[in-house]
Amino acid sequence: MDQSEEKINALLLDNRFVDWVANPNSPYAGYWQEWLAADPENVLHATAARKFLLDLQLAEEEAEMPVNEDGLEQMLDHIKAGIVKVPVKRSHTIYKYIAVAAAVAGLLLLVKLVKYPAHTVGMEAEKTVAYNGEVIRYNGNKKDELLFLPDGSKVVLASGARITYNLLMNGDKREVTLSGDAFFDIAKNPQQPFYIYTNKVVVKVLGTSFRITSSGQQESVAVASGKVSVYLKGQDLEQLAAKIVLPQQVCTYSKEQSGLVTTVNTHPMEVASVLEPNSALNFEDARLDTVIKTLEKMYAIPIRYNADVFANCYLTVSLGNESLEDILKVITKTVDASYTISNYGIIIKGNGCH
Amino acid sequence: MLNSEHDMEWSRLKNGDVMALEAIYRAHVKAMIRYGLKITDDIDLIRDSIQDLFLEIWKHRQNLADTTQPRFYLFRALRNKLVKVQGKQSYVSETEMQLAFDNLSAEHIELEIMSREVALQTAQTLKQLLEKLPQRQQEAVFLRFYQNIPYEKMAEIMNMNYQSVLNLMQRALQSLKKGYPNYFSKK
Repeated sequence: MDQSEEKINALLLDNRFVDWVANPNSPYAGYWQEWLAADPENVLHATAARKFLLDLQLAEEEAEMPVNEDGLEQMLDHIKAGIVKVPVKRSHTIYKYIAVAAAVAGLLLLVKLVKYPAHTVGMEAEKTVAYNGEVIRYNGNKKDELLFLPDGSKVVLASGARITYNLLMNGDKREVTLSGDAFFDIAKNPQQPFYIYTNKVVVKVLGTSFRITSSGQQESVAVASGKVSVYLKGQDLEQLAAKIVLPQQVCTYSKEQSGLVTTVNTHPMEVASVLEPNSALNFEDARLDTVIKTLEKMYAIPIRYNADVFANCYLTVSLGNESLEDILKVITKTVDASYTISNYGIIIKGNGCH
Repeated sequence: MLNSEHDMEWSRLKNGDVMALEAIYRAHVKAMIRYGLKITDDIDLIRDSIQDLFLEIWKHRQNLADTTQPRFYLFRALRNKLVKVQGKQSYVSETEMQLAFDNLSAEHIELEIMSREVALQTAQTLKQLLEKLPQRQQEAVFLRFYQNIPYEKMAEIMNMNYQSVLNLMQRALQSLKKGYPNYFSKK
């Protein structure tokens, strides 16, 4: 090893040198600048060592990540699910199931199982175990998709967007997490405020319609009607109040500003086109099982009932503008039945129609 | 990379803030996966271990030590998990056996590279060189050059003594420079 080599080696093995290259705020910067100035030879060695380090970092950077963003979110979902419940064993099969389902389904509706002992497959199983009731809905299509939430709210998911929420949305808050773009039309319910969590931002809503963009570096909330308050995740609201965003305004978070900025929305707000024409589905003298199949799809919720018993039931009903519970009340009243709702889904019981 | 924002999150986590846990997860998970891949190829195992680790952190949050740099803590904990599951390999001390192994591979690399004699793109070359390093050297290079983690901390994370870490780095550097064309361009 010649002298130059040895010197470059020494630099690379020096914590302080690597820190100077890697860390823009390195406390050693002054030291190395003085050292460089002392001898032109030093500059040569430092340049070689620095180039080597940067090439190496590039090489590490280029190695492919075996887990994509969705996979990372899934892991986080599992962690969160484990926090709420007792820590549970996960199996690889769940990931595989998700992956397979994502590949086949256009609109992916998925109820995630957290703990699901083999002997309690039935719907009547104990409530405390089994599902954590989390629903993931993902739009794998090219076009926007209209989704219905159990509280009566509607969401238009852009292609590639994903929302997650509790199957029943029956907590003291209604909460969804969103990645990607979506237009929300939130059912008014001041007793149960609606929260949307994106990567960086929290949006609190009472009842209104607006668009959220949360992809890439920038996240924004544009309001069409009503008002929402927007704040950053982890923001201490006593120190710094949330931003109130009004119609024709847009509130943006970007990494550079690392804060929220509200501006006038210069682009007229396009209310998601899918929302208008078919936001309600009308059934006239339809068979109960047709209505129920539609409901299951709209709300991504399993509904159990005895098809034979209800074979003769027909009803006229409009779906989509009320909460799931309200719709269920109407249906069960019409066909003289009762329903129960749990993390497993809905069970309808009755004696059928004559 | 490591700033005071993360310390705050760490203490918020200790106070039971789920959002802080989430923030810490997001800030470190990619680096953790990259690091895990230096220890094992089993990506499912890495994913499971990371999930378990965060669940354990949450469960024992009240007893967590204060740290200004959660990443060291996370790396060390992840490594312990992976090594435990992987089982038999003794990572505890640098035995003569392992030293012999490392040297053997270094020679092997040299031969392979000379036989190629193709001028590849530097990053590409380096990538291949890195992949050929013995696993523990890869791990050391990742921690030192990519994550800028100082030797003292590396020793803690890798459960080795200071001098062994230094030796490991020296050997890694020796192997790398043999295949890296611009390393010591003498004029």
